[in-house]
Amino acid sequence: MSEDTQQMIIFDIGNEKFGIKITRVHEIIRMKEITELPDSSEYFAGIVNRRGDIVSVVDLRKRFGLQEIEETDNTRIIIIDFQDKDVGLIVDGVSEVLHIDQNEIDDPPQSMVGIKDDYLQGIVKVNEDIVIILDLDNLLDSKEQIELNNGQQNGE
Amino acid sequence: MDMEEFQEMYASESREHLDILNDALLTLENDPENMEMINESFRAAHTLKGMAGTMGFDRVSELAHAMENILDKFRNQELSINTEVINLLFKAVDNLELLSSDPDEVGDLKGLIQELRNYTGDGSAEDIGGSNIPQNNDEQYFNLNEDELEMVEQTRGQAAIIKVTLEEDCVFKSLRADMVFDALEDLGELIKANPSIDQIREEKLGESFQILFLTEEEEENILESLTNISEVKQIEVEIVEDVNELAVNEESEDSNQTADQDSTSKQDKSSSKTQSLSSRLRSSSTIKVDVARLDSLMNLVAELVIKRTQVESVARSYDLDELEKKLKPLSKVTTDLQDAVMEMRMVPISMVFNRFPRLVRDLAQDLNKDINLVIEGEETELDRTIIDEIGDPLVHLIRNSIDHGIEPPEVREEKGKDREGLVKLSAFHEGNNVVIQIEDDGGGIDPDVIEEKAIEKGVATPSEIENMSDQEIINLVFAAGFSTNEEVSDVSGRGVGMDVVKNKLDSLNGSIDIKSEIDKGSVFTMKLPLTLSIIQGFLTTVADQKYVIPLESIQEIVDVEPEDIQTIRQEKVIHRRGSVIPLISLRDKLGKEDNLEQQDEISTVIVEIADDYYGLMVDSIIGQQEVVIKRINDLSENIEKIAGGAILGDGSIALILNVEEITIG
Repeated sequence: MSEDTQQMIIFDIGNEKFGIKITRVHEIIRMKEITELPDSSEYFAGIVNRRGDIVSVVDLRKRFGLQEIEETDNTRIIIIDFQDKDVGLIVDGVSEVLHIDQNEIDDPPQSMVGIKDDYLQGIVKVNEDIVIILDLDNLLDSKEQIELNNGQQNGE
Repeated sequence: MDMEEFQEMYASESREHLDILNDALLTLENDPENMEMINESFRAAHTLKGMAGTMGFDRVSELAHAMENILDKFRNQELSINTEVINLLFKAVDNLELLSSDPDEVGDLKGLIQELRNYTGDGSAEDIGGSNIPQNNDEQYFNLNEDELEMVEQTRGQAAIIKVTLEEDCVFKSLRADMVFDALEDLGELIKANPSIDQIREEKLGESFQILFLTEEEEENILESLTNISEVKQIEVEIVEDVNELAVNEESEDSNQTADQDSTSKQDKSSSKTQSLSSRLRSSSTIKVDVARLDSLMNLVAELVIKRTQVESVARSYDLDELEKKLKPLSKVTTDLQDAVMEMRMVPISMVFNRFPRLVRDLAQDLNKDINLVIEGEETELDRTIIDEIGDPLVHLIRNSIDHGIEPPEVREEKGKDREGLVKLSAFHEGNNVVIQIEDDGGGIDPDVIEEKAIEKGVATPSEIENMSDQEIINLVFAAGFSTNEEVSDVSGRGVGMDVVKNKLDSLNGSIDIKSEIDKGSVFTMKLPLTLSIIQGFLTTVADQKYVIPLESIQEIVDVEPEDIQTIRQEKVIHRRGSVIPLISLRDKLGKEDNLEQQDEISTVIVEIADDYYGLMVDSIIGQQEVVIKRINDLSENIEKIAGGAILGDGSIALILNVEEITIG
């Protein structure tokens, strides 16, 4: 394994596959009862009780402007580290852990449906699938852009 | 215990003595005659010297020793107190502080020590151990208080002062002195000795001491009975005509008598100051526990509370009366335990406030301003973690007040104000909060200036500002990247802006606001939670979600019948005990669907916020419960209405309402 190889957690949202660095992931838990907060932005699903700690949870479907679906047995919350705090990401399912060579990651194409460039680190081809590598910090940090994005998606 | 732990202990112990030194020097600067403070500072310097000696910190002990010598000169009135020498002493204190925390940072101290020594006139180090002994001078101080005077008057005989000088190489000075006392007791009445009899018994005397003595015997008889005692070199007897001359002199505190004698005889403000200094030392010299250990204890107790609630809810849902009965005392014990732990973590805010007199003095000197710093409510207690966090924001605000707020003395005079600017720092409890105010009578904040700066710095656009009230414009100082100072002064404007202050308070679940009037001054009001962890609250449900309303703000809980609700200016109100209480629908406030019509009675929680009453309408009330507040990682920055989350016995989350935000905001 070369130094350029990273382990990535691959998860599904809709028909797309996404990857995030495993070093950022604390754990993956089953879907839990989510307590909604008043007045919070739309992509912010609410909070969950993780063994006595309260963790804020982001709904990635909403974040990417996709339609809400009923949670299934596969629905998971990926607990990641964001600015030294735990944040949960709701995903449709977690499929696998892959070793991905840094050199295989291509720049993202100019326009990808539903996702703004800022949140994309790149794409990588794994077998038949295209995996989108996410930039977590940009994904969670810039609030205005998220709302804007949501607005565009909802308008369509 | 390894060396590092010793070092830590030493650092925290010396911290206390340095605080006392700082305080005492500040008092002395304004009140050079204050003997209490001179003694206080002398003792602190002496203790520091001793501690450092034990640890083998030679530089500390040398520096402390040089300070001690100067303070000793003050004490003996061989040196008068002026700003110059106080500055030098402060410089020494600063270096001592640095030496205790970060010894490697301290440069060469020889220059400073030499400067200190120049005052005392000794170029070489003198006998370190000897300087603790109160030195007798030839003047006869007895400073009799009223009781003692009365005693003198009621006792027959002539008052005489007997001065006893012992042989220079006398080994058992106190023993010889005792023999003198014994001999005198047969001849008359011993009133007082200088040094005091207690000090003499503790061997704290020089070569001579004086005794105030009432006798009917002739002078010769006295002399005769005393000269038989060995190792006594010389006896002088002086008859006192007017005993009142020996009474306490109110004008000047020119005694080198013991401190306790002065404080009993004088009820001036200096003695209360001394008491507060010493009591602080006493109270904090009890036991030291690492805050991290307290925190882990705190967390364990919090866990215990949650687990207890879980067991309780099992008992309830299965109707286990016997278990519920047994759980009651457990519940009391855990509550008491919680209180005890909380109390352990409470420390007086003076821990932070103490450093401000010095800070203000130095700032005032640097900026050529006259500042009168008033501190109130320093005994107000706050959770240790909060105390640790508010130091920097407070320093920043005080710097701001002095640098930007208070005008130079000439300007103040032109405005018809006192040359001396007032900065008032106060702390007090308000409900579940501690309020800290920094008030100044300076120039105030000019919205026009803020406006200009805000546009210049790109904090706000002119069109945005057009729609803002003056208060809103003033609040722009909290925006990131804002600093009103035209020249970046050495004092404020070190890149720490008001936005940092605000962020800090936000992170502590606190708030800050400004009231300012041009030429009248500004008031910065910080509100902080008393403690970060556990609150008592009423558990309610609104649209199937549980919410906790903190008990502190609750006045009462009533069932409101729909026909009792009246409408005033489109607002729903009820009349209750002669006052009109606005009703607030929590469903409405929390963005849930209204279901008001379907209910016969509406459970309503009456809360009091800033002297006003509001009725919060909820779906149902579950009951009183104590909950552990957990912070919510605020990703959306838009949840002001929620103060935090709490995990209930069944694992579900209740949201803690920020009642203030809901009623006023």
